[in-house]
Amino acid sequence: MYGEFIKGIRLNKDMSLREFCKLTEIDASNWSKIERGLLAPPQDEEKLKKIAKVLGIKAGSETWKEMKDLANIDAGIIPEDIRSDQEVLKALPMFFRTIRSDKPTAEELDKLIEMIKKED
Amino acid sequence: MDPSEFKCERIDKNNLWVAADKVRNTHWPEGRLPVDIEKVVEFRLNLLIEPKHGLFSSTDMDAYLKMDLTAIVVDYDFYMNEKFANRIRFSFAHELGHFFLHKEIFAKFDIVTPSDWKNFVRDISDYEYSSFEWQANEFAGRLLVPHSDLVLAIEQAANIITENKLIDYLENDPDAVLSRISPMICKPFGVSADVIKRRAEREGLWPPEL
Repeated sequence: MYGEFIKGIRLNKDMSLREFCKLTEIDASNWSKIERGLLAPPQDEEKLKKIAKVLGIKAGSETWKEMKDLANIDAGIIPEDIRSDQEVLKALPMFFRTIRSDKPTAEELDKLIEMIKKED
Repeated sequence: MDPSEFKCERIDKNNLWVAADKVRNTHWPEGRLPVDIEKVVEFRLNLLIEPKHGLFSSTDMDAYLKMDLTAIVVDYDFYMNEKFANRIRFSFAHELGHFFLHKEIFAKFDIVTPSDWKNFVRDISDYEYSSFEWQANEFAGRLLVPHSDLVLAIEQAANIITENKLIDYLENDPDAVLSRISPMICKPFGVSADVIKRRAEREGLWPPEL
């Protein structure tokens, strides 16, 4: 909800994920999860103000109020510790492009499965 | 289907180029250089970009397309650091190659658990596997380096060679000359000098006729 709302505004402003995260000084990995509803949005007023400023949302405006309401509603999102096999499968790669141009080792495959399971 | 018996469909290079040109014309109609591949991914194709900490250090990968075709996962450090901008641009273009060329492949296999997936990766032959990667690389290079712009850039380079009376040098060692000029040509395209060198050779533009 909050994530989709902010992403919509960001895309309307033609702002890439990277640009947005650089301007707001937010970790892009975490922010990507917030936009997907996998992590709770920030609750800190200063951080919300910074996000609003970067997106051109005026403090006190209707959009500002909506953003804060959604941030409050989504505050209870708790990240899943372990994802199901089906979810992990969807998140695995179709193909790999490794720097050494070989297929990944069994150990690398296991590491990737673990990373995705835990959403590292 | 048994992965060990699987054969990657051979795609003629001309067909790969047509596919890349079509994707560029459709999703980057501005035609400006460099092709804003990140914008194509996130805004035009509505694919998610998911930066992941430690992807490269743990798995030796810069990026990958998720099997459900919803997102491209990228190594966090490469994605955020401008120093690696060209590298990550090529990675996005490469993953779009898989997106447009190979998305039906996995449906042919009975992959329902992460273990099935691991066995699939293990069992598919190295040769067939590298064919997929070769096709995605060829697609990516053409996507980021439009033929007509490359022709123009090579023509300009040829003029410089003529003006500086370096024709003998070109005739004696065209590969060395291409290595020297690729770093100059590559900047507007937002790719590495190696990509330009490969494009010029692959598309039969080097050495130029003077």
